Amino acid sequence: MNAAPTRRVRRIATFGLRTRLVLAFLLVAAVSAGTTAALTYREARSAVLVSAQDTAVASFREQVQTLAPSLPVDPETLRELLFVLASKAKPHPWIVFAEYGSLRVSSSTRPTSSVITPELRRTALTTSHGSFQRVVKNGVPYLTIGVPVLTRTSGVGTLPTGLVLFAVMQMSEEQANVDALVTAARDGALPGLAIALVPALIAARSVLRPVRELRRAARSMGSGRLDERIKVSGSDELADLARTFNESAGQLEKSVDELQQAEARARRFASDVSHELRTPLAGMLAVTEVLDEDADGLDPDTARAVRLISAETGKLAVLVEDLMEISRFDARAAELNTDEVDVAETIGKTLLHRRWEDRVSTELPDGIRARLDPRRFDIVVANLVGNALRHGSEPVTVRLRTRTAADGASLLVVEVADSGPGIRPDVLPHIFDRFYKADAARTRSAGSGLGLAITQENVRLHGGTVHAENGPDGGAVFVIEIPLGGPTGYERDNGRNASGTDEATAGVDPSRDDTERAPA
Amino acid sequence: MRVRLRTAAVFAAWLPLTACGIQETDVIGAGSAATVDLLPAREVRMLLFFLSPDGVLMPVPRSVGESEFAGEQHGPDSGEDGGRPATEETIAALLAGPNETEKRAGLVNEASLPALDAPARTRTSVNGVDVILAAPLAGLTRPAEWQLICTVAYAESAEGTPMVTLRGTDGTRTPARCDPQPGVVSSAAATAPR
Repeated sequence: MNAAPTRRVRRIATFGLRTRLVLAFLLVAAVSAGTTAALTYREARSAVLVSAQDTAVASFREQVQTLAPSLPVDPETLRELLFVLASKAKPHPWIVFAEYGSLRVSSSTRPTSSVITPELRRTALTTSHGSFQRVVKNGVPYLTIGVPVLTRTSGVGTLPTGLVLFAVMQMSEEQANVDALVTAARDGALPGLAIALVPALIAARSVLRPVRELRRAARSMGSGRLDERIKVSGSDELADLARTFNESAGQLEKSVDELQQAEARARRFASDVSHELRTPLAGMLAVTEVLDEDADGLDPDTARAVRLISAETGKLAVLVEDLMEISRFDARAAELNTDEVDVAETIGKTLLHRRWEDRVSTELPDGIRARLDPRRFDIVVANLVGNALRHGSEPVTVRLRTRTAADGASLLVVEVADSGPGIRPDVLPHIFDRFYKADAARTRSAGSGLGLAITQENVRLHGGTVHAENGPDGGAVFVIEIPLGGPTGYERDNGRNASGTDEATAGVDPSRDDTERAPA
Repeated sequence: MRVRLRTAAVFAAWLPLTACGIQETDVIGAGSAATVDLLPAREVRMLLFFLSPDGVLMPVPRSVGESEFAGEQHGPDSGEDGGRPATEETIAALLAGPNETEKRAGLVNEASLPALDAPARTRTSVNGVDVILAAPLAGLTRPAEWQLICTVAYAESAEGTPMVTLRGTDGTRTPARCDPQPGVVSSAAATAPR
């Protein structure tokens, strides 16, 4: 039962503000114009009609009064009298009918009228005052008047004679006047409505302009320009809204600024820490190498301790390198040096350099060429394959293919699948998080905990995506999709964001990106 | 709901305009009736009350001098005193019935009026006028009674004000005053055959 009105309301609500304002204005104009026109029309109409009726009734009675018919009336004499009456019609010609006993006489060819209603006839016959009635017959309005004739018996006494005279008058002229009133009312109201459109549009504009400005400002704030402000003019509600918007924008800008500064400080700290760690680590690595070589000459316990220190120092060095890499990504200082390469060949080189070609089976069709940064792509593939070898179990398979995306772009697809137990579903959403360990107990894994995060950042830098899933017959599958033509979309996005956060990231020096990441 | 209200408001605003043009009306009373002088003068006429076909009591003046001219066999004689005709003559003229002119207008006598051969006398009493009819009043209907009362009342007085008591051979009617409002007797609709 409520469905239909609700739908209608919803449909109305989808009208724009301008439409609604204009409609409301038009409605008000229409109602006022209509009411005024209607009331004026009614008054004017009744004035026209009353004037005509009063004139007709009064003059008819006056004319009848001058007749002095002799009683009992003789039809011929009466007809003569009626002709006289008819000739003195006022304000319009009328036809006069007389009734006396069974006599029916008229000034026309027919003795009785079909317009006079039985009610008027009865009233005229049974009362001693005049009466009239408006009758519309076949669309023509008539005024019918009935006047009984009384006779003076003496000075004051009167006696109904039984003679009743009726006049039937067409009100064509009154109808024309009334129709002219309707036309005038319509011709007055319609231009009024048209004129009402002008203030409606002006009012709509005065409301819509600030609203449009607000929307523009809100949109540009949404896209990062927090310094956007609205010009406040006037002191109405919209101006209040603009003022509030400006204040909120100011506060938002301030808190975003503080947040960015805090974040920048945190990043700089991480970056500085990893930098400061690198120099002593380099020395430690050199020392542990020497110790490693001489370990054979030491007693077994000392040799085990020396080897442990050596291994942990190596891991620490990897962790510090990874931290520095991540810092560069966070600072948006990572650069992409693309080159047109044969993808199968690049993957083959990666496996060969790390001596994995025996442990990894490949499905690498020749002839797939893409614009890639070979160094970063190498890191991506190495991280994924290393991850698969470390956490999954062999055989590990690397597959290469291309596909066409929904928007028509050609994508390079690299799949790295292992035959391990797969990834638990509750872990899957976090697999690319930094320092996320799938197994909380295995905190001392071989990786730094940043490998997959770095992989993801690198793939993103290429304008691609990486995701993990479980294969149909067990085992984790990591899928990389990178546009064959290079990271056009990503570069543009990255560039705009970078310019928006210039101040915040200025603390991190891009020139520190001077180190090659050591092969795992 | 709001939309429906709005529609109703618009409709209400335009409603008066929809009743365009000239509307029919009921019967509306408008001023007095036309009043004409009753001719001829009271001195040379008698005023008889006949019934219209609709049963309306209608006063008909009859010139006394013209009775022979009208060729009416039962016309009253000229008044003995040379003035207005006597009431008895007027009653006789009423009982004799309408003349040709009057019949042409459809005027009739109520059938229950006594015949002409029952002469009537009048007598002034304390109450007004007594009319003594040599006929029984039993069959006399109300319209007929009104015919007699009004004719007598206006014969006795110019204003028709005296109380009239009808006395017959079988009794007396309640004294009544002529009240010639149209339609008073029409309810009886007593239309006598001609």
